[in-house]
Amino acid sequence: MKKNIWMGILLFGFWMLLTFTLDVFSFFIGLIVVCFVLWFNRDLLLNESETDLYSYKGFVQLVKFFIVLLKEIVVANIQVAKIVLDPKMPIQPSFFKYPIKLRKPLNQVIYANGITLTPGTLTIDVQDDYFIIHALTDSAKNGLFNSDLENAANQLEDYHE
Amino acid sequence: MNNIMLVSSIFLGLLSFVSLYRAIVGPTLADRVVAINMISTKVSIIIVLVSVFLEEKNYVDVALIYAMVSFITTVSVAKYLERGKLF
Amino acid sequence: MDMIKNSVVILLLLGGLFFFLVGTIGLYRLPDVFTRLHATTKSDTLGAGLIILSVMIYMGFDIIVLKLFLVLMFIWITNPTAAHIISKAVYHNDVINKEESNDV
Repeated sequence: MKKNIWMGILLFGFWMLLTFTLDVFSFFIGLIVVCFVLWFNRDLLLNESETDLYSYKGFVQLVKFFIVLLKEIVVANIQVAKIVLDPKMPIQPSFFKYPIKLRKPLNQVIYANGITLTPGTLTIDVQDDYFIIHALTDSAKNGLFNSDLENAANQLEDYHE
Repeated sequence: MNNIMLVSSIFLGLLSFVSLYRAIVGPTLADRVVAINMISTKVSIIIVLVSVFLEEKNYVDVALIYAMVSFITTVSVAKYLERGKLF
Repeated sequence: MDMIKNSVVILLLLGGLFFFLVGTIGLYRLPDVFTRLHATTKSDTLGAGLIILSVMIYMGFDIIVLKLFLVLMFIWITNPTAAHIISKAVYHNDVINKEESNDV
């Protein structure tokens, strides 16, 4: 119930941002729409075990992860630009399994999207304890193990212990 | 400054025509989905640029909704691709 | 001051256009679906980010900056997710059927 109230406040803030008028009519329309959306999506809302990231410490770890991710995205794009603009196209595409330590589904999703955005790797499927990853080059494949991003992602789940 | 925005949105439009080549020729269905996904990202950026140089701030909402609809499109086509049916 | 702002805006805009160009060339040149996805997700994401950042700097303090930030976050979350869904669909349809003996 508590999480629904927070979600409702978030949705209402979104509504106020989109309409950006402060009259009574749009206020009540927004209230009704938020209640309807909450009722309609009650199965899809985050459940108790997935709300860890709302705590202060989890949020700090998430911000750290995003800072590492931003750096990696820039590096990734320069690498891809080099490969694509090279007339010989030096690629060695391959599939491989990549073991992960993360257990919570939300953290797995965040990390999988992070891997997709980092140099030369693309997450294809998520199994219980490994990702199936497509690598563009061999150096990208080897660069994934023990990277800064991996450490930052593992921090996401370590903080509460 | 407005001219620069106009020129860059025209450039993005030309790039989406190049992507359209892959959407038409692309050997498999997945290639076409990738190309359409890319075109829709470009179109939402074009809408943002247009809203800046026409000074119509409401168009940014259009860009947001366009991005949402294109994501739903990609998800539903990919789901059809994976399972052969939608529901 | 105005000139510095304008030159930063133009620089970011050109960077974004360059990455969009790289993504499109990658879509045109690379050999199969997975490698094309590599080019499109990474380049499109950074290109969209740079262009929206330049527009945000150009507009200055305004409510529209928040909306632009929402558009940017939405593109950044959905683009890798869409790539993941497409590649998963292709992987389960094609690769498993054709390469049953492969180690993956």
